[in-house]
Amino acid sequence: MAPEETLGSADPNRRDFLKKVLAGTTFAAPVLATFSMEGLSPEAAWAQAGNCSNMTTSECCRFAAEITIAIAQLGAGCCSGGPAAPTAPTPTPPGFFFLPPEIQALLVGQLGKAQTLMAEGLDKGNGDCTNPPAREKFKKASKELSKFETLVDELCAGGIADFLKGQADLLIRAIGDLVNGVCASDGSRLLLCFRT
Amino acid sequence: MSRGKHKTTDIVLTQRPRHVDGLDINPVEDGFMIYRPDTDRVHYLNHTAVLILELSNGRNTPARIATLLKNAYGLPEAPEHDVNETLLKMADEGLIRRASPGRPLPRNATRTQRRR
Repeated sequence: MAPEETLGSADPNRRDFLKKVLAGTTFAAPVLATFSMEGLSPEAAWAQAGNCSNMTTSECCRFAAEITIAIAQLGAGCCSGGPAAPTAPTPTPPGFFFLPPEIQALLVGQLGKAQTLMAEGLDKGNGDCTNPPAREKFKKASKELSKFETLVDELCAGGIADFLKGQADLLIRAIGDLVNGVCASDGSRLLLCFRT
Repeated sequence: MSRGKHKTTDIVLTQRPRHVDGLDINPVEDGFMIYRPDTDRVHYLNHTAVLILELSNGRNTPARIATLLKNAYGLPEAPEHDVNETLLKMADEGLIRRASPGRPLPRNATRTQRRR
């Protein structure tokens, strides 16, 4: 191998990074996969759901629903399974699929608890979502998301851990707002997961 | 895809490709991820694709990048086809600049010729 030549052709401030990229790797066909996050806004999800029901609801219930959808997408979008190695022609979105199935299952299960509590809060909210029983459920959902972050810390490392914890942080903050009655969502607060 | 593929091919493959500035390349398990808020797109690259992207710094031709990969990995042949295909994809995804077609330098231009 002649990495010096390659490093010499790279930008000086990128050589350390390239050294790490080269270290211990063998040639593999290059893979570039792109995933659009367009159309994943909670508004879009609601627009699509509009055909299912004429139900009107409060702004806080709408916000709670957006958070619930975002939790579901964090789990479902990132956990859709896929090839163990990203050399397959059409890799699935980046996310949990790099992890062993047991770990995926633990993470999805934890998100599921948060999601269920959010849905129960919506049910208790009965079109209002600011009443105490609903808020209690939302607070519990937030605690489950904190446990998800702890689990990520224990099981994952590197960029994927940061990404997942960042997503969970966003959701926890959004639930905090919801519980405090700050329910005006512009939709961009909740970064939903990927879709091909 | 109706983005003027021939033009892109000409620009990307006859010049020295250059990646766009400010790409935040994050390592993930078995690869790298770039999130671009301006386009609302996430790109996953394996290590070879990242090398191609990093070497697309405006100093190397596609042929040179392929040669560098060949030498780095001890390959029997330079993976020119792989490099070209990847560069085109990167250009299409906006990771490589669509430079204005200026004066493409000949492959065998010397360093002195390039500076003129």
